[in-house]
Amino acid sequence: MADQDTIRQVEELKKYKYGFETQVETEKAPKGLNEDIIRFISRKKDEPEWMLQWRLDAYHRWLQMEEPRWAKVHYEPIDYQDLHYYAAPKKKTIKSLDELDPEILKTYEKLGIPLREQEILAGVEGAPKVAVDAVFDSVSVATTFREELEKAGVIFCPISEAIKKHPELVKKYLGSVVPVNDNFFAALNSAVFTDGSFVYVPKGVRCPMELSTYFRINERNTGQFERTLIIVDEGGYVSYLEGCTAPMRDEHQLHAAVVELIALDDAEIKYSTVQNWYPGDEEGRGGVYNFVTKRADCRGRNSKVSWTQVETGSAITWKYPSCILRGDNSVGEFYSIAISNNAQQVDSGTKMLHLGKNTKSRIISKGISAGRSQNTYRGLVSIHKKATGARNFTQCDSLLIGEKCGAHTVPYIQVKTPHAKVEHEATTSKIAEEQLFYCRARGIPEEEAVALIVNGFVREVIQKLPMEFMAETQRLIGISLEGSVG
Amino acid sequence: MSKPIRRLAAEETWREALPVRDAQTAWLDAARAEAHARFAELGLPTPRTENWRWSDIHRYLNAPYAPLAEAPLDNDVLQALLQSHLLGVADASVMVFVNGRFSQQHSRIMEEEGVEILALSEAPVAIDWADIAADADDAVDLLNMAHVTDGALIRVRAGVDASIPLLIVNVAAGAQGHSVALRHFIRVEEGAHFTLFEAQLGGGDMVASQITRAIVHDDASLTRVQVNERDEAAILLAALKAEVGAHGALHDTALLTGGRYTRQNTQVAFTGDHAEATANAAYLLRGRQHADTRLKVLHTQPHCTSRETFRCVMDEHARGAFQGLIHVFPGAAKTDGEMSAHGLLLGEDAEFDSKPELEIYHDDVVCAHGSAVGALDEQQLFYLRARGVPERTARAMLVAAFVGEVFDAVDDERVREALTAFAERWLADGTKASGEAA
Amino acid sequence: MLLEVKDLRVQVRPEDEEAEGAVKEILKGLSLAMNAGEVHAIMGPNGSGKSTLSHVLAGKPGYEVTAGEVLFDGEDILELEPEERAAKGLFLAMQYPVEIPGVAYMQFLKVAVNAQRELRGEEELSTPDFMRLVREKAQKLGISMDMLKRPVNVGFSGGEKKRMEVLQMAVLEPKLCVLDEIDSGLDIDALKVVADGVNALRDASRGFLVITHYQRLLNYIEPDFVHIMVNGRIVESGGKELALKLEREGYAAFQDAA
Ligand SMILES: Nc1ncnc2c1ncn2[C@@H]1O[C@H](COP(=O)(O)OP(=O)(O)OP(=O)(O)O)[C@@H](O)[C@H]1O
Ligand SMILES: [Mg+2]
Repeated sequence: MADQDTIRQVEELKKYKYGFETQVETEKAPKGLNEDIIRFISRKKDEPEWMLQWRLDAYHRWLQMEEPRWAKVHYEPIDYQDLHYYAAPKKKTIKSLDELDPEILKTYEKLGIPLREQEILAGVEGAPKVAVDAVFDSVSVATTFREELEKAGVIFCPISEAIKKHPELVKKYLGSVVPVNDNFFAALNSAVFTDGSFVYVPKGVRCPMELSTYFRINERNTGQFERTLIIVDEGGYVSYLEGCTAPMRDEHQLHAAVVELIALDDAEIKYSTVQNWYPGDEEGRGGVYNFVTKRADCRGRNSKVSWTQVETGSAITWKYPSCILRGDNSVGEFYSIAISNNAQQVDSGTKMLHLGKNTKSRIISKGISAGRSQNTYRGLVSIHKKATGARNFTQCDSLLIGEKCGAHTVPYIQVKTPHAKVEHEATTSKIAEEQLFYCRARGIPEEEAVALIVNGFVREVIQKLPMEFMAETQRLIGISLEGSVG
Repeated sequence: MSKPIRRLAAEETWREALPVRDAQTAWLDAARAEAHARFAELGLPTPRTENWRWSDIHRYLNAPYAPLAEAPLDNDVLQALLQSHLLGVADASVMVFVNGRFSQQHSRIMEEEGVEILALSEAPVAIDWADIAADADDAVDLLNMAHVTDGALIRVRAGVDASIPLLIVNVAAGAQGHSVALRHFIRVEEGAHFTLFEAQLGGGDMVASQITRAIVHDDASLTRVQVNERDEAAILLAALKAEVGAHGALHDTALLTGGRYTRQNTQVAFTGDHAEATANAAYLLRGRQHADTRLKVLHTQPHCTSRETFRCVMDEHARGAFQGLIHVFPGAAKTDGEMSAHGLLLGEDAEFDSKPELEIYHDDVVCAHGSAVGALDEQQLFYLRARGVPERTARAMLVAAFVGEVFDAVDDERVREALTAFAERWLADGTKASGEAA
Repeated sequence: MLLEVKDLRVQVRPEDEEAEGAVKEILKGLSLAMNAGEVHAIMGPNGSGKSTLSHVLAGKPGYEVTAGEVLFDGEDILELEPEERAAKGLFLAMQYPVEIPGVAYMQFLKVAVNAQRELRGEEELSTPDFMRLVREKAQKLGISMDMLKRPVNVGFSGGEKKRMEVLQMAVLEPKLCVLDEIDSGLDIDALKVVADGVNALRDASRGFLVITHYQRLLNYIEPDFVHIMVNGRIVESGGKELALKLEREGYAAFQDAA
C-alpha cells in the first residue's frame, strides 16, 4: 500500500514539477479575518493611517458583498475565517541579494522559470535584463536592478514600500481602476493585500528592461493577496512579466490578486502572465483557487494596453483582464491561452469597454480542454454611444481533447452606435485525427503530437509573448496536457 | 446591497386576476389554476434574470394589461388588417383568432386526409394527442396557461405529406389596455410533413401572449414561418417550444418588424439522432421598437445538425437583441452547430446586443458562431452609386440583401417573395412615413 | 524479406455507426512480398483500395484488420503504434498530406527526426546538424528554405505538398517507402525532381512501394515489379511491361479476374 502511495507521489511530482515546498521559517498571522487582523497587517507593513483606513473601509464593504456565482465553476464554499491572511519569511528587508534566504534562492533554482532569473539574480553576463520583484507568500523578497531603473527614473518596488515612499502616487491611483467595492474578491484583496509590485514610468521614458514579478505561494493555509499597480505616464512604455507557481498541497489555496494598470496619453503597457499555480491532482484534490481582478484604464489619448496570458495552472481560474478604453484612439488587446486538464475549471476572458472615439480592441483566445476539465471563455465587448469609429475583432477558438471535458464560449456584445464595427468569431472542435495520424506516421509519439498540434493551435498568442516566456510556454503546454490522450 | 425589485403593474394585475374560467374549455380550468399558482410563486423575470438581460420588460409591462374578457370589435379595422398582411399571400387554410377567440366566421379550413385541425375552444374535453402543459419554470409560459382562452390544435398523421399549409392569424382589434393569450399545439407524426404560417396582427397598447408547442416525430418535418406585423404600440410575448425526433427536421423562420416590444423565446430539443433544425430570423426595426430573441438549441442526441441565422436591422432608436445558445450534451457525438447573429445599425441611436453562446460537453463536435455589428458598408454603397443607383435605393438594396439570406431559406415561393419584397420596400417606406409625419 | 503482406483483410465502419452491420470490406485477402532493394509499383482503378493498403501499413486508426498479417523485416507490425512503425523505418507519403496550422515545417521535421531517433535509442541530432541535413536535402529537391518556415502544408499547392513529402522521406531515410500517388498534381519538371529524389534514395537496403495511376512515373522510377490491384486484391503481378500493357488496354481485362 505504502509503495502504491509512493509511486503515486512520484507520478504526481513528475506532473507538477514546481510542487516542492521550501523550508523557510515564516511568521504568520493567526487564522481568520477581522479588523484586528487588518490592523495587524497594516502595522506589520508599517503603513500610514490613511492606508489602514482604506483597508478597513474595504473590509466593511466586503462584509456586505456576496461571492459571485455566475461563473461556470463549482467549488465547496470557502471558509474565509479558516485562512491565514499574513505569512512572511522571518528574515526581511533585504539590502542585497546575498542576504536573501538561501532556501528561497534554492527555490528559484528548482523552478528554473520563468525568466532564467537564476542568471539574472546572479547577474550573469549576457543574461537578459529583467528586473525581478519576487513575492514569496505575502512579502516581496528581492527587487533587482533597482539602481539602473532609478537612473531611468522608473520606480519599481514592492507596493508596501511605495505606500511609504510615494504616497501621492499611490493615493491618486490605487483603487482608481478597480474600485474597492468592484467585486467580492477585489474588496477582500483591498482589505488584506500584503504585497505586490508598484511601477511608475515617468513621462517619455521607455523602461530600459522588462520588469517581472514572480509569485509563489508556499505556506499552508495562506491566501495570497497581492496587489499590483502600474502607472505609465505620458509617452512611456513598460513590458511587465508575471509568473506564478505554488507547491502541491492536498487542500486548496486561495489566491485573490488585484492588478491595476493606468496608461496616460501615448503610453503603452504590455502585461504578460504565465500562470502555473498548482492545479490539484487528477482527482481534483488540492490546487489553487485563482480569483483575480485585472483591469487596465487607457486613460490617455493614443494609449495602449496589451494583456497576454498563459493559464495552465490552478484548480479554478476566475479571471478577466480588461481594458477601459477611455482615451480617444486608445487600443486594448487580449491574447490568451487557457489550458485545462483533469479536474481543472477555467472561467476566463476579457472585457473591452469602448468609451473613447476611434478606440480599437483585439481579442484572441485559445482554449484547450482535456480530461474532465471545464474551460469557459467569457467576454464582453461594449461600444458606447460616443465611441464612434470604434473597432473590435474577436477570435475565440476551443479545442477539445477527450470526451469528458467541456468547452464553453460566452461572449457578450453590446453596440450602441452605428459608427462602430464589431466582429466576433468562435469555433469549437476536437483535435483533428488526421493531424494526429500524420504526426505519428512520421514517428512522433501521440502525446508529443498532441503537444505539437496544440502549440500550433495557440501559436498566434505565443508569438505575442516576450522571448523569455515563449520556450517555457511551449514546454508548459506539453506538461499540462500529459495524460490527456490514450 | 441589492435593492428590492419593484413589482410591475402588469405583474400585479396578473397575479390578482383570477385564472380564466371558461365554460367552453372548462376541462382546462384545473391546469389554469395550477399555472396561476405557480406563476404567483415565480413572478416575472427581473432585470437580473440572465435570459432577459436585454429585454427591459420593466419599461414595457408597467401598465395593468388585465386579461381581456370581451372586447368591442371594430369590424372595419379587422377586415383591413386581414386583407393586407404579408402572410395573406399564402395558399393555405386559415384560422383566425380575434382578441384571443377563434373566429369561425373569418376562418377557412380546407379538409385534408390525415390532417386534423381544430380550435382549443372547440374541444369539449382534453384531446389525448395534444399535450399543452406549461413549463413549470417558465413564468411567461405559466402566465399564458393561466389566462389562455383559445388556440389551434393540429395533428398530422403518420406518413402524411400535407399539401395544404395552415395560416394562423392572431389579431387584436380593440383590445387596448388588455392582454390575450393563445396556445397552439402541433404534432407531426412519423414521416409526416407540415407547413405552418403564423401572423401577428393589430394591437394597440396591449400584450399578446402566444405559445406554440411542436412535436415532430421521427422522419417528420415541420416548417414554420412567423411574421410579427403588429402596430407600434403592441407587445408580443411569443414562444416556440419544439421537439424533433430522429431524422426529423424543424425549419423556423421569423420576421420581426412590428410591435413596440417583441420577445421571442425559441427552444428546440432533439429527441432522436440525425435530426436537423434551422432557426432563422430577420429584424427590421425602427422608431423605438425593441425585439429580443432567446434561442436555445439542445443537442441532446448524436449526429444532429443545427443552423441559426439572425440578421437584425435597427434604424432610428430601435433596439435589437439576440441571446442564442447551442448546448451540446455529453454523448451528442458528431454534433454540427453553427450560429450567426449580425446586426446592422442604421440610426444614430440604434443598438444591437448579442450573446451567441456555445456550451459543449462532448469532444466530437464541430460548432461555430459568429456575430458582427456595424453600419452599411460604405464601399458597397459607393460601388452601387458609382454604377448610377441613387443613394436611397442603394441603401434599401443593401438592407434587403442583408436580411435576404434569412428569407432565401423559405420554401413557399409566394411567401418568400412577399417577405423579400417587403424587405426591399422597408427602408423606403420608413423614410416616407417619417417624412409624412414631419 | 522487407515486407510481407499475407492474405490481408481489412474493413471500415462507415462514419454513421448507427447503420449497424454496414461494415465495408475493402482489402479482401491481399498478399504481397518484397525484398530490400526492390521497387514495387501498385496500379489499380479508383477505389480499389490502394490508399487503404498504405494506411493500414502505416497504422492509421479507423481500419479493422480481420485477417492476415503484415511482416516488416520479419516482424508482425499490426499491433504497433504508427510512431513505432515509423521509427522502425516505415514511411508513408500520403495521397493527401495533412495541413497543421501553426506548426512550422522545420519544427515538425525536427521533432519527427528526434522522436524517431529516441525510439531507436539513438542520440538526438543537434540543431546545426539537423539544419545542415535539411538544407542539403531541400536544395536537391529544389525546395526553398522559406517553405520550411511556413506551417505544415497550410496553403501549399498540391505539387508543393508532394515535394515536401519527398523531402521528409529524404530527411528521415526510412527502410520502406510507401508512396501513394506521389506524382499526382506535379508538373513535368517537378515530376522529374521528385523522381530523382526517390532514385537518389534507392539502394540495396531500401524498398519502395509506389502507388500510381500513370505509367509515366514508372519511366522515371523504374519498378522491378508491377502489381495490379482490383477490388481489394492483387490480381496480377509482373515486370514493368505489365504497366505498359495496362496503359494500352485499361483495366477491363483485369476487372474480370477480380
Ligand atoms: N472510412 C471509410 N468509410 C467508408 N468507405 C471507405 C472509407 N475509407 C475508404 N473507403 C472506401 O474504400 C474504397 C477504397 O478506397 P481507397 O482510398 O483505398 O482507394 P484507392 O485505390 O486509393 O483509390 P484512388 O485511386 O482514387 O486513390 C473506396 O470505395 C472508398 O470509398
Ligand atoms: Mg488512393
